[in-house]
Amino acid sequence: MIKIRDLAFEYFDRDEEGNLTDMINAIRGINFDARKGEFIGVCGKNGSGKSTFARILNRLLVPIEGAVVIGGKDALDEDNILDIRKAVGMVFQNPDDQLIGSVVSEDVAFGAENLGVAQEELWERVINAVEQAGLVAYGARADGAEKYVDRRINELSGGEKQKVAIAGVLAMKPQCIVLDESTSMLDPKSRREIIKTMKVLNEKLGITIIMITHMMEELLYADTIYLLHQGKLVAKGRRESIFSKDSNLFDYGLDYPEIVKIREILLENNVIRDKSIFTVEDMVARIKKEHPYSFELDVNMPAPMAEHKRIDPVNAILVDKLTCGYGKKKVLEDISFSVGKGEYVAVVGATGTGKSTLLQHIPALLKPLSGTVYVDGIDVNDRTTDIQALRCKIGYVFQYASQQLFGKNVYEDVVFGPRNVGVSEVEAEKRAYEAIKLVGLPDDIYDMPINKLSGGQRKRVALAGVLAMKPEYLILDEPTSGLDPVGKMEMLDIIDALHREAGITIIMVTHDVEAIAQRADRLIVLDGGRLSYDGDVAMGFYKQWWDAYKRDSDTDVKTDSADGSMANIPVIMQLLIKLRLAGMPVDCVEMDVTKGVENIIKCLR
Amino acid sequence: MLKDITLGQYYSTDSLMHRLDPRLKIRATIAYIILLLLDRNVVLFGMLTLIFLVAVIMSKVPVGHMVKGSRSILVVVVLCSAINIFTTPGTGGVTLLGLTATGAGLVKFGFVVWRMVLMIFMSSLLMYTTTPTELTDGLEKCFHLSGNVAMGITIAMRFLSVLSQELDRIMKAQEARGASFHKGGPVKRVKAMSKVLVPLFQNSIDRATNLGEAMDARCYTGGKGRTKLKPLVYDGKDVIGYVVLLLVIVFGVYFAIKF
Repeated sequence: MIKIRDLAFEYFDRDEEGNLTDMINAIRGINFDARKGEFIGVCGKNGSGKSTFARILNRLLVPIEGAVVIGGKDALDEDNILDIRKAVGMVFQNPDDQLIGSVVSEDVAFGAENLGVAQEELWERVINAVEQAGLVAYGARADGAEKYVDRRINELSGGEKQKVAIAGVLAMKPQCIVLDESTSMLDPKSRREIIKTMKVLNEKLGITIIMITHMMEELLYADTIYLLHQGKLVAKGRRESIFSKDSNLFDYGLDYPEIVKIREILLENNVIRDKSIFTVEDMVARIKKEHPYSFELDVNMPAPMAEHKRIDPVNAILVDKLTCGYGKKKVLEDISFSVGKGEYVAVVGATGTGKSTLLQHIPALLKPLSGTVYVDGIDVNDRTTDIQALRCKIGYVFQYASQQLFGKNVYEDVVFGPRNVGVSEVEAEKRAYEAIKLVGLPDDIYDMPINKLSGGQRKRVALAGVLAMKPEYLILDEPTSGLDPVGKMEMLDIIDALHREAGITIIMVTHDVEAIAQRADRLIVLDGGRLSYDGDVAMGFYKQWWDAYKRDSDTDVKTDSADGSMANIPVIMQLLIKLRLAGMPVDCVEMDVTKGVENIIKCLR
Repeated sequence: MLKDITLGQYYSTDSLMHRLDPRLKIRATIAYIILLLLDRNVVLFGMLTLIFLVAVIMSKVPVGHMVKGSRSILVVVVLCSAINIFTTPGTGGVTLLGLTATGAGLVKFGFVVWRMVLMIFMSSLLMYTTTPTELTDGLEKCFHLSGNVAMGITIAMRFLSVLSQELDRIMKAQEARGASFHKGGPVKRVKAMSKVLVPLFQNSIDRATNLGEAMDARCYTGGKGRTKLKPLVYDGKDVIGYVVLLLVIVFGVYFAIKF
């Protein structure tokens, strides 16, 4: 279907007079083949050239060298542009930047309209596409596709928007769909749904899927994986070879999927003897096969221990019966929790549950409908409170770095905060210098213009800008989103250091459950507009699954919400829960991989 | 504050008003505004108010939602029209701070507010009941615009809400780092705002680039050979609509001359 030989692409950088200053070798010497109906994963760290590669597939970019043949047509020929874009649909990263219509039907039809499809067929295609993209089978929505297509795009969640984008591509009847990091801005559950949808499209409709990603778990679904590094193809193969020990993924800024890491530990401990396991389900089946006597007939799932809400009035941050929303619409109701000095708290919840809204009330960036927040005993919503001093104390790092970088270069940006609060220029400069150092950026980055920075560097500059204010509390809104595995690890290490060495209290919103499991010491869960859990991290994860499991067993209707909620918990706990469900009396409230494996070994007979 | 403005945002529901042809709705709205400007008398305004009420009921758009969405504009309208109370010559009533409120001025004020309110509500009703795409399709047909211009309008309308969100976030990010938009003199405030506009423009350009790429990827070539999911076709209710519109114009003009 797609055949690419000796592909090369370069970016040119010109100064203000138009002279060539830099030539970046984005891609060099890539050979790529995609057969009809194949599911391909393309991975690589930030800046490895994978997005450039995706754009060449759709002919949004034209390579400078090489042969690109898509569906038997030469992609370098101007006349074939439309044919190629029709055959290869593309779903981009940001759900807000790729939808054109204001209601679902308009957007889904957009591509097909451009192709000149007749009106009656358009409707048919829109309805079919909405169903194929899994938008109507989703949840308990029973009104069908005809009703769904009238919904406003603004009212949809991020995951639904991405599905609308997929439906828009499907309505063009493509032979191939390219996903360019399309799940990176979604919560774990939506992420899993998108991947499952793609798998179904691949299997049922025979559509070739090319998934560009740096989420290692997603690559497990691919038939063939291409690994890019610095614009070159460094490895190609099935998951068995890509995730083998000698592929050294860390050198390429990547990581191994959690289940592979767990498998290696189980192999070392002789629990299993099979090297070709890539899913939790297969792992459970394998353990059952090798240790049939360790499984009993009747093992019940333990109820989670009562959550221990710790509302302590003398604590550093006290959120007191906070109800917030926009206008009359309530987003969150009656939220109370406290955070002590030096804690590391993680806040989770699906996209749109109001995590950011809640936390923005702490430095009084939003006004609550009722209730209030106290920081060190001071009511932040009191009119006499010195807001500027408060905001110096509470650093807030927003999710999108591009929305919080204002300076023309790195130094000018980092110094923005200190200058605002009226410290001397010398002191401001000193603080900026220290902050840049603290986030591990090199000295020569000082004069670098913001738009020349990579995504990971931008996130660090944004953090430095907040650190320059010398905060005692740090609120981080998805500090690792969009970063590749190694970039993610580095960012989390910086945060750890700030917590441990500088004694800064951390409140972090993230979708990265493994990071929470490894680093946070308390978990707050928001669900359906309320605070549904506040306490121990492992128990919090378990309770999220348990609640869905309870809901499932209480209703007669077949739902898979328990299975869906698995996406919200660490892989090791998923394995332990599934083992217990299969009859192994293992302690499943555990999120540490080593201890989890020990739990399994203890149960073997 | 910016988020409260719902003016011009489609209100999703199923009603007769929603189903009417956008061309009819655009022409009716223009005719309505012209009638409002023709003359100033109670009979004409009464009739137009009645028409507005019928239209609102037919549209199923909650009045509260409309009022909330245009509240800030209404405040400006009332404040500006209040000048009339003091500047219209006539037999005076109360003198306040050297300004004399006259009876005639009060009447004029009432009429100006009445007119502006109807004008704002009626045109926002058009926006509430018509999706941006329908609206541009309608505008395209009514004013013979090219497909590209119409697409531009659609996207501009869709991006309004995105931009206001973006602006909100950038301002918050700066406030979080000690900036203040509500303190200091006007010069200081304008200066603070200018620091918001630069990243806003930069981000808008980035997002526009992304959107352009997404449109390219979906084979957009500028409207030629494009088919429409919802082509504009008149049906029975639109014909009746035009007849009603004609009657309204005739009566309106009659009332304007007669009274």
